[in-house]
Amino acid sequence: MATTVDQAHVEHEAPPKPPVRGLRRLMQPGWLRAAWVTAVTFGLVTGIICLIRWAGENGVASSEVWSLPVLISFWTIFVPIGFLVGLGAFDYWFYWISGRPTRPEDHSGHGADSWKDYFRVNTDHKVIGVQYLVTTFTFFLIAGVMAMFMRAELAEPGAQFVDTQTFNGLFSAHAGIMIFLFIVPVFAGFGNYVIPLMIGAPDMAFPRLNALSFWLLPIAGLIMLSGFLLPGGEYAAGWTNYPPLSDVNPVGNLMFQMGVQWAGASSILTALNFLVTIITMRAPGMTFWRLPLLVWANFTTSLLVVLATPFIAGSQFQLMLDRVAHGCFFDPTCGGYVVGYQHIFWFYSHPAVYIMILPGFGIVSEVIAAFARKPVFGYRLMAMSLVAILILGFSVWAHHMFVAGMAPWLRIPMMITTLLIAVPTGIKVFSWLATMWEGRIQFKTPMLWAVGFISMFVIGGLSGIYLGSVPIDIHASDTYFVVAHIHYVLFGGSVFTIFAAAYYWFPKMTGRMYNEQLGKLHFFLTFVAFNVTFFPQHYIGLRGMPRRVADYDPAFADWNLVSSIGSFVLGFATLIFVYNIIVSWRSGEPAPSNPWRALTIEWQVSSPPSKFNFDEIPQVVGGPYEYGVPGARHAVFNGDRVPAPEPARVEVGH
Amino acid sequence: MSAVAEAHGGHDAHDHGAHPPTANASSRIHPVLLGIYLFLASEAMLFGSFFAAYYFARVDGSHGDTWPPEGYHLPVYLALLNTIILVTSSFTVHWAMQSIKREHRAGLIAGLGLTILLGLTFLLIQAREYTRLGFAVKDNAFATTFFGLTGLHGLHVFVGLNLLAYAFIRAWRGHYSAAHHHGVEVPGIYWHFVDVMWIIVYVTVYVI
Repeated sequence: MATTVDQAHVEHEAPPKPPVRGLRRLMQPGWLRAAWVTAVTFGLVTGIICLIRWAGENGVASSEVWSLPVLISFWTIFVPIGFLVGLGAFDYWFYWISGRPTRPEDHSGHGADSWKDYFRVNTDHKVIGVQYLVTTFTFFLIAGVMAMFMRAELAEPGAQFVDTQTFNGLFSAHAGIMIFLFIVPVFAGFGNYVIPLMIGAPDMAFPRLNALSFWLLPIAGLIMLSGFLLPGGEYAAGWTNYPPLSDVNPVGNLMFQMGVQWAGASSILTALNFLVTIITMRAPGMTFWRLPLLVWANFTTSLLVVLATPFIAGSQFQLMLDRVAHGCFFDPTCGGYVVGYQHIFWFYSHPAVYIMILPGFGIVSEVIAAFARKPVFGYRLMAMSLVAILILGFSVWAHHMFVAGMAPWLRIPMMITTLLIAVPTGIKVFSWLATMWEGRIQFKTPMLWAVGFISMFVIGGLSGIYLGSVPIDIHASDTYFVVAHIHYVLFGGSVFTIFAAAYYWFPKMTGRMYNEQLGKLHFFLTFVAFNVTFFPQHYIGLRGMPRRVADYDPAFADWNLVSSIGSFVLGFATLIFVYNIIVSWRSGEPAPSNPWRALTIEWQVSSPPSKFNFDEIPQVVGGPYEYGVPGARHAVFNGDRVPAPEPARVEVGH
Repeated sequence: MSAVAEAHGGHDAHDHGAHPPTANASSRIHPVLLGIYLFLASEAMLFGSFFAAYYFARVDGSHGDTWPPEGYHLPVYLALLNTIILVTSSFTVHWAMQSIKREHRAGLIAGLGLTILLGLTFLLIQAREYTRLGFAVKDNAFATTFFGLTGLHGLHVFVGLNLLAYAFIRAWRGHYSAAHHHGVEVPGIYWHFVDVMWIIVYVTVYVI
């Protein structure tokens, strides 16, 4: 069997190009070229900037010519572009703009035959999805270690491990990396892998743009982390980066501003790609009312990303002008309006919390329908509530600023719209419950995470209603109550859905099953440890313990110790997940093409899917969730030949 | 699918097909055009954030002082000239577009060439304006927001000129036809956007 496959493989592919030798290797797209182009760009930027400053200042003291903030701004703009050019992200476009004839796509940048193909510019949405997931989970672990350091410091009052400025850097980097390099892009990773399969498309609409938007992500991460190496340390004004503090902090603060730009560009381009793919590449018969809810969720999220993310880009550009060019956007001493930053920032960053949860809603809808063996309750209302959240999400930003000194008349309208969002969210929660009602529930690991998500997210939602009400918010602002709330919605909410998705689609992505016992152990340990860590923070927050401080009143010592112990167990539980994924990926049991007996299209092709997903685009004939409906079908393949009896990849090498 | 692969038969051979199936076109709009419209929606929001910063500084930051502050003047009529130049360039790029739709190649090249020249004139006039204004970014919020908005727009003119230049090179080499001209249409749409944005910037910064 294996030989047959290999022969067919050779017959079909274009003959391999002769290997490149000698100096020509330096010109081939790849890591070698990336290394020297990056180095050359770095040298050029440094030289040109210093020369201009030297000429402009007429040869003044060298400290004036060598200005670290200015250099960092230009390095972080141009050196990543040099790296991308070297890696080959723009090769086709350079070819195109030079006016040469259009080149038929030879698909040489598509698909992965060995692990090395994951480390180049790859245009296959499945490879890009895996690239996204591995990269973002790496950042998850890094930012998690930062949290461990913080909890170690907070385990008892007084200073133990880190000084206060390092502590500020730790919590800022923890939040910045978790938000911009884990939760937002990890959903782009799942979406990349699953959406084209779900809607019956061979790939995304713009595969080269897709590859580019992935490679912007590690750049953003490295920029954000490199702040630790700068004089004065990492950016330390919190992930919200409010001026005037962010204007006077050490130079590492620029690393947040530029890292966010790259991560933001990445997510805008991916969102644009999702929208175009979903609108223009659906299989015949796949109307909007037959789209799986994950696709609906990513559709609304992508609209949010495209419309809101430019606002954080703008706010950080303005901060940079203030800092590097000594501008006055937010500097009240020369006519700026300091609260204006918070308005512009939160006009992105409140929609951003929906960017971080709506794809999770979609995942949970998929998982619950498949494991309760029932159609999703109120499918159309589920989709419409996503749209309602999208629209309402733009009208609530100032509820983050009740105590910031903004115009007082804004408070009540913002409170009302904030509380209104509980309505579409409530529709979703009750619809999930109704989906499970009288279903034949199978508590496999993904389902455990989905159910855990509902309970934890409801707690986070309730504390959100508290914080959305002006009187309570004035009391609880900037306390650990806010920390508890954000972790109940982002960890108990988003991260639980991410784990559900990771276990749910792991067999599809790798062709192997994960270890069910370890998965369940991971869930229960995380569930308990998560509550031990964060629930006490509600209490100490209401008692008045401020957030973002390295030291605290000894009266809070006991609960902080409990919280720290919980967090270390949480860290250990995550290691179980990492072990399970790595070992199962290498030597797990081969997965059938549809282990969950789900109806959506990605489960009707082999695990992992073939290079171009389908031989022929499937025909969609019904809704995606008609579990238990006699005779119902979602999609028909090539005159009914698929699902394949046994996937080919599994048999090779066994 | 070659005959050899068919001979080996079955599902396995199909899995390694060298060409993807053609995607179903589920919408009448072309993906490239939808892509550029969405991108411009995003760009409009980026301008929105700078307009927000401008009005925050003007309304909340200036504490009732005059706007522009005492002693600050903007060359309103020079900028009006620039506005006329940019609006004209919108018509020339439209002419280029209409020409290629009728397979009229000389009109395409002339239209693109004129647009690029007008765009360059706009940038040169703006650069000359910048050097003779007599104030700098760091002076006060008026100067910062002025340079922020017009600079952001100038950057977009620069990007638009690049896109037009690529289209020009390809047009010069004879690439476009009445059936295939997205390479002209996308820079054209972008250029119209830059033009419309300038009118809003001009009215906001110079007129009111």
